[in-house]
Amino acid sequence: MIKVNSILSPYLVVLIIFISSNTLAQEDPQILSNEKMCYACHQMATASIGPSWQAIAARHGQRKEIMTKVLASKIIHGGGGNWGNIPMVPNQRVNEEEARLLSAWILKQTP
Amino acid sequence: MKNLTHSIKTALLATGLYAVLHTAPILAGSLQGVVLDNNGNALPNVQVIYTRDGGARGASVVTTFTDEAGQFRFRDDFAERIDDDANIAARSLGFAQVDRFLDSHRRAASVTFIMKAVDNQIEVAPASAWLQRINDPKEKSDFVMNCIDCHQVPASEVRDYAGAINDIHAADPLRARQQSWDSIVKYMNFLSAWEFSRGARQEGEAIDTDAVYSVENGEEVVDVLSRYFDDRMDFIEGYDWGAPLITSGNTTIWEYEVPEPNAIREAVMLGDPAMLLVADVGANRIVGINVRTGRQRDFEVPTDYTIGPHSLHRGNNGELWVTPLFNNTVARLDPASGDWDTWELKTSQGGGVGIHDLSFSHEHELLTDEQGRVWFSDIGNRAVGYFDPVSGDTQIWNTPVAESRANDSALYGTASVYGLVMTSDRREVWYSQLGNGVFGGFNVETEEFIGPFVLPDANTGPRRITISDNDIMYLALYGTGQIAEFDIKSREMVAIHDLPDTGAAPYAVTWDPVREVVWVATSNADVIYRFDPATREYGVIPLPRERSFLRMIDIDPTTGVLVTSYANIVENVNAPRMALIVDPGDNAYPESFNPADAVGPTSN
Repeated sequence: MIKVNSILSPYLVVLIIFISSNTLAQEDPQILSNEKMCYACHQMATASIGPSWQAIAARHGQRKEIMTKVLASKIIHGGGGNWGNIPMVPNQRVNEEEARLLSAWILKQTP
Repeated sequence: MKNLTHSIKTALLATGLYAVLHTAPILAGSLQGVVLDNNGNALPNVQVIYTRDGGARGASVVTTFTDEAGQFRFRDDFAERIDDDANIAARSLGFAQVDRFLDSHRRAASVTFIMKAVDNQIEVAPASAWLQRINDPKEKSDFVMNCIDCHQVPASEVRDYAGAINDIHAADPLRARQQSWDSIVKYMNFLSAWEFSRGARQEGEAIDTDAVYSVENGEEVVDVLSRYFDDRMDFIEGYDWGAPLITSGNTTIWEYEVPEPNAIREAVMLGDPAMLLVADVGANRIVGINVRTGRQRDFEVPTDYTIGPHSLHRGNNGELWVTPLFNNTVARLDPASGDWDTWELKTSQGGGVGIHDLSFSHEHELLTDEQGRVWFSDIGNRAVGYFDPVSGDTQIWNTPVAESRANDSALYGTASVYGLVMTSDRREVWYSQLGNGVFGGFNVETEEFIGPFVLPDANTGPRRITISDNDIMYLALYGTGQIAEFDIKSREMVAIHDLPDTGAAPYAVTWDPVREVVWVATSNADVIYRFDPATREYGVIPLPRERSFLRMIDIDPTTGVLVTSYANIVENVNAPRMALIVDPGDNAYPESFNPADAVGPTSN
């Protein structure tokens, strides 16, 4: 039987919670999109401040491989000119790996 | 078994080695040098900023300033060896660093910086510098009150966005700008609603973008942004600090980073060894930072709901009083023991209160009335009130309506009672009202209001206030970039003083009872101002980074160092979150400050 030192156990609990919540977000891009507050500007099916994720997928879904990289870059650095006059704000709290995960997920959201 | 014994021996040896290393004297190294222009002339008042590697003992970043001979010397003895990889930079408005020569020895390093004058001040000029484009004071104060509640405008990402709008090359550029800035206002409303509804929002509940602190008159804001921020915003010249720099070779700033995620607000310094105590409104905790080592620990508020620690007050016995963002709870922490006391306040009618400040004395400590009652400003009920820490009794009084501002219901909807001070005789508390430019007093014995007194502009935005030992009250006028000086004894306004930069958005003022000056914390100008009431002159201490979104300044009663924080809101803003200690270097207090042996006020 494995006994956990009582001093260490709270840290282990925190570590497990951290790892599990992090893993959860990594496995589920929709949770990640909530965490990063993408829905402040984007919704699934209807345009708000920015285009809907379905519209993005419909436009770029045929070129998933390259557009995953392009959209990931756009999430981090921002951009503009594709969907009207409004530039996208860079989301500086998304790292490269997360941006790839999000962009791959967005490109799957065909109607 | 033999292998096991060997492993145990190895482990013991490693443990012993670890113990020896950690109890051995730390190798200390000095850092000094000179800053010259490219003609070899000495440059005074230049910041020399040493950003230390993560995990370094003590502050995350230490900044000192050059003297009249361009020379600098850090007060700290750094434990780490400083070599060519060290992140040390020189920074000064109107200059750019062009070269750095570092001569490193085992126990000392010497650096020579060469700087050149530049026209484009974009690397150092604060956000407030760009607000000089807005000539109409009314437009400017409206804009400050709308946007700079939470973060600097236009900080670098705002200016980058202006560049992105230009890059679109739209057929109708004005319309494109309006659409783009409109999207930003909506985005900001969303983020602020997200931030400020955290205490009450249920899992999965939709965000109400009309919630507190959202920009209500968004169209006006979009109009200002579209008219004044209509270019790439990548060049600015001609800005100056507006008053003499008061830095010297003795001026030092120690910045302690709080690891993200956090939503830190205010900071004070208490205890032996000295600890920075920093409110984290996002995590229901006070972060304790050991000033000597930089080690951090959390003091969780022992409530089963989020209070969101917001305003901090030193008690006169080394304890910390904490008021909440989200609800009715006042908390008190003994930093030495980590013990908390909490009071969940209800009025005699059973209603809730929305506490902002507790009553500050001229020494910037919590001061009770003679009955031991703690007075507070009630931002939720537009009231002042008290609670009795012994009985828990609570009572509030709604502040009177200022007739000249009474016709504007919109103003009264946001006429939040904000700052609070108590007179030296402990008979009166005085308050500011952020939303309508009004302030007043309340006699705690007769239970009668004094005033109200009306400031010239409804958008003056009086926030945190302070009181001198002679009962002169100073109000930080956030919207108009001024401080008001009011004589409580005569009930007369002495003067309203423009700050050196009226786009500075002063959040707080603090009376310094030894120096007999007022320190002004700015949110939008990356500086701390010193105002001398005797001469009516300002001095400037520039801070070492942009987005130095300051909150309240506290003053250590022994050494006179200033303690404050960068509290950028919202959590999503990519900006510094630090507590900092600023030694003006004027030797005004009897004891000098050094983080290596710092001691703050302690409990008896």
